[in-house]
Amino acid sequence: MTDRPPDSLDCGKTIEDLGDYIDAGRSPSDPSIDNCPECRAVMEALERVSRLSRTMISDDAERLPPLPESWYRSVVAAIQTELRAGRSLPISHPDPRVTITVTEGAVRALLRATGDSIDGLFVGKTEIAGDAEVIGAPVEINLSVTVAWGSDFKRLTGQLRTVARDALAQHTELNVRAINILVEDLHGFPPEKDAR
Amino acid sequence: MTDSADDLEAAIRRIEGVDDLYPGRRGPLDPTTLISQDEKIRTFIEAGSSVVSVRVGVQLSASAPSTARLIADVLRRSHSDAQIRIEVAHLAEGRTASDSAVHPEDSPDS
Repeated sequence: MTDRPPDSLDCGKTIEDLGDYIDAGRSPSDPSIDNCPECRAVMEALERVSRLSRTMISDDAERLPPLPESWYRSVVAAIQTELRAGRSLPISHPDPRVTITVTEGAVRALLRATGDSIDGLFVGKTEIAGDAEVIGAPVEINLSVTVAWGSDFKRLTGQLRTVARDALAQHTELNVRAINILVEDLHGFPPEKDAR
Repeated sequence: MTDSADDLEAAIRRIEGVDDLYPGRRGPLDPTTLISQDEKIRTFIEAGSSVVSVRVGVQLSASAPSTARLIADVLRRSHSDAQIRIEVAHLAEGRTASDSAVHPEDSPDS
């Protein structure tokens, strides 16, 4: 056991550390952050949620009640817990002396980035359920999302399911039996981004 | 072993799809493990067998399995008898306009 704070990444950095680093323009450069894959994944996710929340807050101010602060906090908390390295997901290789793995944190960050790339949808939480450390074992992907007010839920969640499955096939050998999507909230993002 | 860790790192970075190499994970190591080399291309002895270990980031536009297998090929050329361990620790979005905006150290006067 280590004595690092419970809310820190494996490297010991906290989400507050990384938020401060982003706010400071990543200057002065901190190699302990720049050379850490988990830190980089968290910063990418934080920057996406920051960009989206600013847009949502701006839009909501005109059309809907303000976005609850709890939403932002819950997404940041999810990023903090999900993007630790976690389990090692195997990738096959014909040479038994070669071991290749992808960290669970990298794959969950992939799912988050893939979902966030869809206009009108934002990923809240991600989960890889099942024995993902065994090649071929069936797993299920659980995603919670918020979607744009007035949007076509069925189309957006179908699109998410497709891009998530494609991304997992591209970067992992997970035997994905199901991608379960829970729409847990709405946000006031216009259906067409160029309407802003 | 014919290549230095620096040579290997350069060769790995030249592989299409490789975004970055990272130092090995921090934390206590297996007590039977003896680290004998640097932090990014780690070679060590474990239970009598030599091990070469790398931790990489792969670009989202590439394929993690294919890129990792290419890395294994590169490592195998200089470590013919070693156990090879590759961990893909980051699937990188790549630099975006906003990333560039928050890298003031990249400016000409920094």
